[in-house]
Amino acid sequence: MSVIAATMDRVPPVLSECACPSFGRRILAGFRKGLAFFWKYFLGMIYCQSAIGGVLIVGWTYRLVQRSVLKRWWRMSGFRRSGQGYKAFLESHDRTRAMVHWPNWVVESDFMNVVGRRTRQNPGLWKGTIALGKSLVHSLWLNFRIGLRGILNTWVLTLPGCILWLFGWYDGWNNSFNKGYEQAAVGPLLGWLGVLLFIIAMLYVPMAQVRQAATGNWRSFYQFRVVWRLVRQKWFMCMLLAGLYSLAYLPVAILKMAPISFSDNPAIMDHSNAQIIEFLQAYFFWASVVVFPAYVSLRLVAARIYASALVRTVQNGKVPIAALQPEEKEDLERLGLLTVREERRLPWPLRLFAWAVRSGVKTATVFIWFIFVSQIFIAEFFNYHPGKGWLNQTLVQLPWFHDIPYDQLK
Amino acid sequence: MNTPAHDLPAMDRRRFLKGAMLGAGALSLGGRLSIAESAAPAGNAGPLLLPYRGPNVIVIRFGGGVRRPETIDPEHTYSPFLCRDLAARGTLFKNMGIASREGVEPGHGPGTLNILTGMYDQYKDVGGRFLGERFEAKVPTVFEHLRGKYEVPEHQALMINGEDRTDEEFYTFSNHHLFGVRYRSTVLSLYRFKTHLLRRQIDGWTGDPGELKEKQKQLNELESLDHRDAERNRSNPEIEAFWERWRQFYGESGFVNPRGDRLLTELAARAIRELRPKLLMVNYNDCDYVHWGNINHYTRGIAIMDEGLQRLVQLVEGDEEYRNNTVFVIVPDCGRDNNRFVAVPCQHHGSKSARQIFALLYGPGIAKNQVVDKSVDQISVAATIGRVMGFDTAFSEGPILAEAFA
Repeated sequence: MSVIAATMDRVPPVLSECACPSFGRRILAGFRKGLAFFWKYFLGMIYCQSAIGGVLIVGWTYRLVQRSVLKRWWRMSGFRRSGQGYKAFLESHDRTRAMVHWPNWVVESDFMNVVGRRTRQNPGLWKGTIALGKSLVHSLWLNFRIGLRGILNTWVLTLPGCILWLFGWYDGWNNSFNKGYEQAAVGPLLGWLGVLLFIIAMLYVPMAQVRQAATGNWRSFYQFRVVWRLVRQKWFMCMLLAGLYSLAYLPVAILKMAPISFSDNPAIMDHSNAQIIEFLQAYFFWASVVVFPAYVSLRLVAARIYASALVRTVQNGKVPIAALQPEEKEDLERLGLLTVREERRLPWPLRLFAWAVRSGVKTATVFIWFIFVSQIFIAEFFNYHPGKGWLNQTLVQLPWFHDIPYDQLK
Repeated sequence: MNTPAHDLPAMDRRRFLKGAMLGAGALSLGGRLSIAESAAPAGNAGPLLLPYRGPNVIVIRFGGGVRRPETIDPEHTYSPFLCRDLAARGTLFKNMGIASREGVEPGHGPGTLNILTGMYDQYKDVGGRFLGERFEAKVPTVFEHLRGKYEVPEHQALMINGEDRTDEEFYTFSNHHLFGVRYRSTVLSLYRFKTHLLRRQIDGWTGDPGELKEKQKQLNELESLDHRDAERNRSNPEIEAFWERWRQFYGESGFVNPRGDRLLTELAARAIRELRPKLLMVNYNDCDYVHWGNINHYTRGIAIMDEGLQRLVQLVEGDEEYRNNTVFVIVPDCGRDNNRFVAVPCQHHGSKSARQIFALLYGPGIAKNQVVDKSVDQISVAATIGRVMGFDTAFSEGPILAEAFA
């Protein structure tokens, strides 16, 4: 018996069916994944059509970012090399089990299993119904709650600059119209101050957004020392991220400006107001094919930068372990990444060279964010969106892309 | 007679032959000189010029770029004087347009030159600047026609310009070989006042040489805008005196005089009182600030123009010499977009709607309380002014707005 047991111990574990699925099952799984992908994409496009939907997208994206950060850490850890899959890692802990799948928009992740489990845990019609109801809107509520906290924090740092743009633009041109030479400097100064504030905020905000998403704690957005350490650790990558923002904004800006050319399109110029509303609804919905993935992708890229920056700064001691949130500390511990490594001190000529390169990269980053801001101003010159054009930057704040002039189409 | 000009050929055979004969005559008279230049002795008082005894004409460029609803539509107007009062006293062409020809843009510069020359052209900035509007007309302006035929001194052929569009300072004469600088109009604007002021300060300078150098530099910069060198060293005593009176009244700071389009009204009113122009064009422009998105700049701009128009009409009616002897021609340089797909529908002017304008004529000999529905062209304004003032606009393409004449 003991021999058998010993022999069994040496026998490799039996692979589950999922580990080695048949071709047909793989096709089916791929089809289901593809279907889920397009369904989530489709709902994301719908949510881009309203402010509330924008909040839901922020929340959903933050959940996705959290998953992405964990995945990055898992890749950096030895778990991958030792053969433990990402799914197994997530399933090995209650808190991370829900991240096995991409976040849902409305119902709870792994809905059928969760409902079954809850029904068993809550016997009785009343309790069972409540449990079912909770699961039915679990993700919707989570997306809203996380999204609201996310956007409120983002507004705290980015909105002051945007408000100054609004006032600067209004007052600047109002002053030009009235030829108020005596106050000529007010409008432009407000505008430039807004640009400066926004650029400073954007050096910080992308990393802070990811930190808030990864920790699930809104207060971590304001861990200025930690977040700034991460930015300083990855200046070059932050510059590339700024470049991606600028690049991604280009098609968004074109889509924002395009309606200015619609009035001369013979196919639609004579439409009734109701037809125009219908046309614009379709336009902004399909424009979200670009806007929605652009918004999500930028945060996923930021998540990768954040994940490696945090591990690096923790390991080189620039971010003390005490500054980490309990959950991320736990995750890093589980993955064996919470180690401290002595960094070799470079000789001074190399340090000087590195300082020069870093200075160049920092300057370039500021300049690239300036390009991003310039695109906003150019887009508003061509097609002005009173108020909203300044106060909501689709790729930074709410991915709300729906500008139908309902007032004049009544 | 009243066929829209975009249906007409660019230049008919008779007009071509006429031009060719005049050109040949000019060459035989003086090689590079034009007929008028060679025939007229120095001082612009040539024997061919007749004394002008016709009505005065005041052209109001109701610009920069207005739509019909906010101007001539009683339900939506922001210019009640124009729409409800003056329209009832004159003839309103409610369907004036700018032709949809290739290269003919519905803009401020081109629109102004359409009005001045009576011909559409594909205007390009002479310096090739992006969005530059330094255009040069190929055919004579109404000012040149007037001064080419009648003995009207240059200070009585006036254009009033705003301070933001210095390119329009130089629409005063064409490059046409039979006309040109000798028959130019004179511009009154802050640009002109600044140059006058600097010249005056430099002439009598006794202070710090460094400051003098700075002023000389400023003057050179202003004068360099006039690349045709037409205005430099051409002092006109009446204009100089006008600016002196302006300086004495408003000072030199620029902070006392009216601003924006109200400044244009003030300049026009003073010009009527002091210079007694025969032909005056006022180039309003401030409603164009809607390009930057604030819709009230458009509506306020229209209201300010309307107030200016009312003041000028009242001034003329209170002036014995001008009363019953002045025709007002009110015409926009271009329309604006009517884009229902965006929040600010009239932000720019590049669409079909930007070619839809109007014209209102009012004064002696003009039919009262008449609305003309048929389509007419902006380039008809020049020939119509010619008809009122008694000169032939031989090179213009647009037919006279005959319905206006009672």
